[in-house]
Amino acid sequence: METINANKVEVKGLSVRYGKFRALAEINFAVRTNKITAIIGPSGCGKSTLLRSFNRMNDLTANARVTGEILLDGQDINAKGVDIVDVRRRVGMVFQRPNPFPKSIHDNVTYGPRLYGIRNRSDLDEIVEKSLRQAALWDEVKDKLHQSGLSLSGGQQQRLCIARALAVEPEVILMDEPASALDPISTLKIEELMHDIVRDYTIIIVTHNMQQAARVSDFTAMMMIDDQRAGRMIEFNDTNVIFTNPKDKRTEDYVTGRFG
Amino acid sequence: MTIPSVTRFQQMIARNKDAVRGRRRFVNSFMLFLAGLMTLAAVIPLFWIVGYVIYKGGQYINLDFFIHTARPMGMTGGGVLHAIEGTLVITFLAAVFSIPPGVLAAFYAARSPNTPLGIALRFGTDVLSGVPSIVIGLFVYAIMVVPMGHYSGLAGGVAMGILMLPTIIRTTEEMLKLVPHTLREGSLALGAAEWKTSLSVLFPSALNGIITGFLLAIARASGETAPLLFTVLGNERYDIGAIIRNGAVQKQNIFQILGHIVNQPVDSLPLTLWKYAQQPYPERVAQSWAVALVLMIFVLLVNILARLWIETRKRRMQG
Amino acid sequence: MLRKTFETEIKQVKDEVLLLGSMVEQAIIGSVESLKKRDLKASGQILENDKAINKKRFEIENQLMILIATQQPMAHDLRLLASTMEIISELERMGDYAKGIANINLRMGDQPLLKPLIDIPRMAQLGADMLHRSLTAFINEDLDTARAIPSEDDEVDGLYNQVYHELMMYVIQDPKTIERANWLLWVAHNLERVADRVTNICERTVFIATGEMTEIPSSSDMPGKS
Repeated sequence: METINANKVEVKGLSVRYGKFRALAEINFAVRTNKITAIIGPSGCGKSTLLRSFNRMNDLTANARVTGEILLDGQDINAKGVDIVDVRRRVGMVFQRPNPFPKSIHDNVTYGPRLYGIRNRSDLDEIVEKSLRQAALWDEVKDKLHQSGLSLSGGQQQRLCIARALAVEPEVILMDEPASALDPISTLKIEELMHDIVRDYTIIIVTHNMQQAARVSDFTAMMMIDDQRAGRMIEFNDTNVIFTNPKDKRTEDYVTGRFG
Repeated sequence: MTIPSVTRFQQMIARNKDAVRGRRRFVNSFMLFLAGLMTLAAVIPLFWIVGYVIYKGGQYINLDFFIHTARPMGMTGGGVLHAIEGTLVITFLAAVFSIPPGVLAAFYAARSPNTPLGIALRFGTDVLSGVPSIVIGLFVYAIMVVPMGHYSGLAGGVAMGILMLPTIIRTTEEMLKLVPHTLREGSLALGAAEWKTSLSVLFPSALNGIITGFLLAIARASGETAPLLFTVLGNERYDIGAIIRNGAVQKQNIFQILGHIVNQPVDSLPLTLWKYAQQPYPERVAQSWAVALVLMIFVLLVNILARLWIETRKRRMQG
Repeated sequence: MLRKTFETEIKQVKDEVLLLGSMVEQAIIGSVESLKKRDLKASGQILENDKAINKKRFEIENQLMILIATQQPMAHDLRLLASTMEIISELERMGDYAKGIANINLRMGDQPLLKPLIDIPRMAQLGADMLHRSLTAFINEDLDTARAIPSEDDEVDGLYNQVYHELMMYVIQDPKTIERANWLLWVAHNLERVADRVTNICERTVFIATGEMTEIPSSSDMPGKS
């Protein structure tokens, strides 16, 4: 299959500052299309800040300044005049703690499509079924679509949030430690789900669980803070290489648990 | 398995073990007793008041009380329908004047607390909540009653609304802050704008708390007499049914009828209570007890209704 | 230092590997000694000891499995544990070679040696010595030593060729000696295989340190030679 862009997202010289403090310094790497890329590193190394740059969620923080480029299909999302709503449609996000809206399961999933003007009831129903199937949740909830989203278990709620993100047909899905609040079985279900949908999406996952990164991703990026407490990417490679023979000693120390 | 040796720490505590245990038990029981006593002390006035009002007010309550307007002294029967209707009208108007601006202001303050407007709002709310209700009544007298030339239910509603405003703003803001920020982020990440997020996601989440806030505000407001003294005056012949009938006969449109309802002096339960209790007729005094009972029942009903609403919403949310 | 427990357990495994290694060294030297002295009792003892060698090998293997399952080893740790599995397998095979030599001694029974043994004990000495040093290099992750040892295999191969030609001479001159010649050739063959397996251990040591699995060439790999 031919992909027009082998690299779905390219990051060039990205730095993020909150006021005077530089949280991310000179990040450069590329995210391959239809692959899962994991970002790992110790606490506070800027993984989440980096992830949130991809859908401009850092804009929500008052004094955040972004320099450098993030190219989505070759177009910089931080350029002047870019429609941020369109960016957020194309780049979806799943958060650490499941955050379903206090609405029915059906309305949770249709929230996004409705924002974009889809009103036809049968269209919406079709989207609901498709998204819930992709999120491996359809069979469990198809008879109770009008029950509140909050009535589901933790693992189900997270899959509902995934369905909600998929409902607007994004191109990239960002996952911020999506299974850290879940039990092991739910975690594995979500990992299975990721494998199933990556054919149609590009996934970037932040995780502090190294075994998960090793299980799930095709590429892994290792981040660490430097002396000025700015986050930097110190190694980026095939996941297999990172976990069997990393090139940077700091990566080695981290994945073997010797990093204190 | 080795026999555990007695550690140094265990030796230290062994010295006074029994005395310590005894003292601990005693202090525990004593504290429990004290707490129980204080609870009783707090609860007794509540039951005493309720019981007393029921006793004295119950003597005068009958169905007539609720469905008739007042009769002049000397005639038997009569009721406080006028006061009930007045209270409802004033409370309704107060809600209309206070809830929309209050909730919207709270949304603004929660979103942008550090702007000049946000800071001013917070400061203003604090000040307003400390203004005595009689002063508010006087203020509305000056800006509405005097220019309009007459007392009115409208003025009473405005006064009550001002009274309720700080409570509503404050509780709404607190409830909004309790909504987890991840909910807001979830909506924004899908591409929704801020206002849409507030309306569709934050507001429903905070709704239970907002209702509670409104409840608190009504509870405070419906018992207030002072602001009504200068705004509604009192009107023993207030009868909405009659107004509507009259309007129908005279072929007035809906706005004119509504105008008649609000744009004349009305009465209210606390006001009636205040008046009757001071009058020299023993019958009136007895009636004032009955009014007290009705007022209590009214507030109780509002409470129960709102709690029922919250419970059903909660149950629906939990699935 | 994080993962102190893990480090301690890795050290324990390495000590066990050294122990297994010395058991195997003794078996190799001992089997050839008892052949030289025609000590059948000693050879019987070698056969008994082989059971202990196998048992120890499986104990170490079990310990490695537990570490892999419970400690999620990555990168260097992973290469170390996986390679140690390989190495103890090599050691156990070497033990089998020593057992084979002891067996031959027993089979020869009362028959005299075809010739006094000179080259064969030398091969055993070289092999055992190479083994000892390769295990030390493994424990210390000494890359340079590990890369250097395999070339000593040339000497062992050379001795094997010598033994081969010598025995061939005997057989040509007196065909009735073929059985005893065969046995001796087999002993030499086992010792030559010991040296080869030491090379594998050295390659594994390099892999643990660098992550690259390459064959360290010895001259026997060159076409046309041997």
